[in-house]
Amino acid sequence: MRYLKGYSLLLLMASLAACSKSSNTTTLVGNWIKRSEFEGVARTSAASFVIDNKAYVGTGYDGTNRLQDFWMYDADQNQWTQMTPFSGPARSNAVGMAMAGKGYVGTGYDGLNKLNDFYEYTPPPVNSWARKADFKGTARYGAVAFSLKDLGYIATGYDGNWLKDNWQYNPVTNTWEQVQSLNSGKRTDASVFVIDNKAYVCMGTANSTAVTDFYSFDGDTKTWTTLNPIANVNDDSFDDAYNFAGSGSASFAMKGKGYIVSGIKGSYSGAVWEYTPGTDRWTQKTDFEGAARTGATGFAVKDRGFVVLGASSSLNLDDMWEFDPNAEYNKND
Amino acid sequence: MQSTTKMTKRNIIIAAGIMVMALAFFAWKTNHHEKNGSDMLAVVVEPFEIRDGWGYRVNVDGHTYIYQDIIPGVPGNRVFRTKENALRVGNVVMEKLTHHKIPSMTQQELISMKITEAE
Repeated sequence: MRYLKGYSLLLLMASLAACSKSSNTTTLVGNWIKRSEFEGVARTSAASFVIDNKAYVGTGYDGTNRLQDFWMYDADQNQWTQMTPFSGPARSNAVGMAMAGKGYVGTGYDGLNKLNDFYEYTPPPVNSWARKADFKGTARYGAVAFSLKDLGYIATGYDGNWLKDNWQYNPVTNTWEQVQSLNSGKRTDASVFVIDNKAYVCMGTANSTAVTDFYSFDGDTKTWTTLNPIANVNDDSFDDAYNFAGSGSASFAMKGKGYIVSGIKGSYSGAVWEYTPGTDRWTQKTDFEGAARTGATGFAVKDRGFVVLGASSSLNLDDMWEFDPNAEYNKND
Repeated sequence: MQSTTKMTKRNIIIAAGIMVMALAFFAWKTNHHEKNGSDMLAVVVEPFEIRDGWGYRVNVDGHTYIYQDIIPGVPGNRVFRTKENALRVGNVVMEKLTHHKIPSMTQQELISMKITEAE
């Protein structure tokens, strides 16, 4: 059987070589798949970071297994390259961030345990992972991570309880220290985006309730500032339409504004909201064109925003979308 | 008079010919669209030379979905030693894609395929 396999492989090679000899184009092997059944690298709750205009996306959950593989997404070419796998145990709901040209992934859930381990990725040509000092907070999943001035932060999440603590990682000394917690608003599955050395943490749930508290963390003063909640709580009319509190949204910042895309807001929502730091105001933008989803990965590359992967009901999604903030929002669309 | 009739006949033949061709084109286009447009996606593996070795592309519906200029699933910046090795691994990735599996390779899989440059 083994020989037969080898022989048929040889035959295949020979026939392919014969096919390609007439031209200088390369050998091809082909197959077909139904468009509706194409899943690609689909998954939900992946970890991601951006280094040198390339997004690295990996780990996550495919509906059956926690994953360990890691991919690089080239937004210019709209294509994926499989990198060396994450060297820690397979997991979902981990966090990722980049500092000083390296990627970091830690915490998360392996299907049984909440995790507190933490790893550093060095991009090609090294393309390898190294374990670093364990996260000093409690083991958790559904946290947010961000980096400010090449210091990393992991905040909020779920360790059995909803959390609002915040921990700083220094990659030079490979040490963790606790810094100021969010003023209130314990949560898991929140969203974060960074604009001008400030991390904006919003969204998320606690006790099955959408959290509306909204804060920014300043990378210089290392303190949190309370912003207008993302709910209609003010007597003024500016927040009358704020209806997007929820969880599992993708987020990114581009051109000085923050974006919250899709997620679960009561049910699956395709809504997109744009945050302007100067005025502390949110504006609804054109709805997400792809299927409304949760656990998608959002990132910005060269001031272009992208939303990739995620899941809708039981369906894992492989598609990727670029967001155009200038597209007109049409309420009747 | 006779020549006018002849002209008309010729016109009818030409018109009929054009109609047949138009129908044939329309039928071909519809068929072509069904095969390549909405329903089925072509998944094609294409090896290419890179850094004194080989990598592969997996093209889906005419667009490169996976661009593998390094050996997948292993550390470093390695390339396949031969076109055959790149093609064999690309083929397994294609099989995974078309069988609803995440198209990732592990180092163990590569070693069991005797891809010695992945060891």
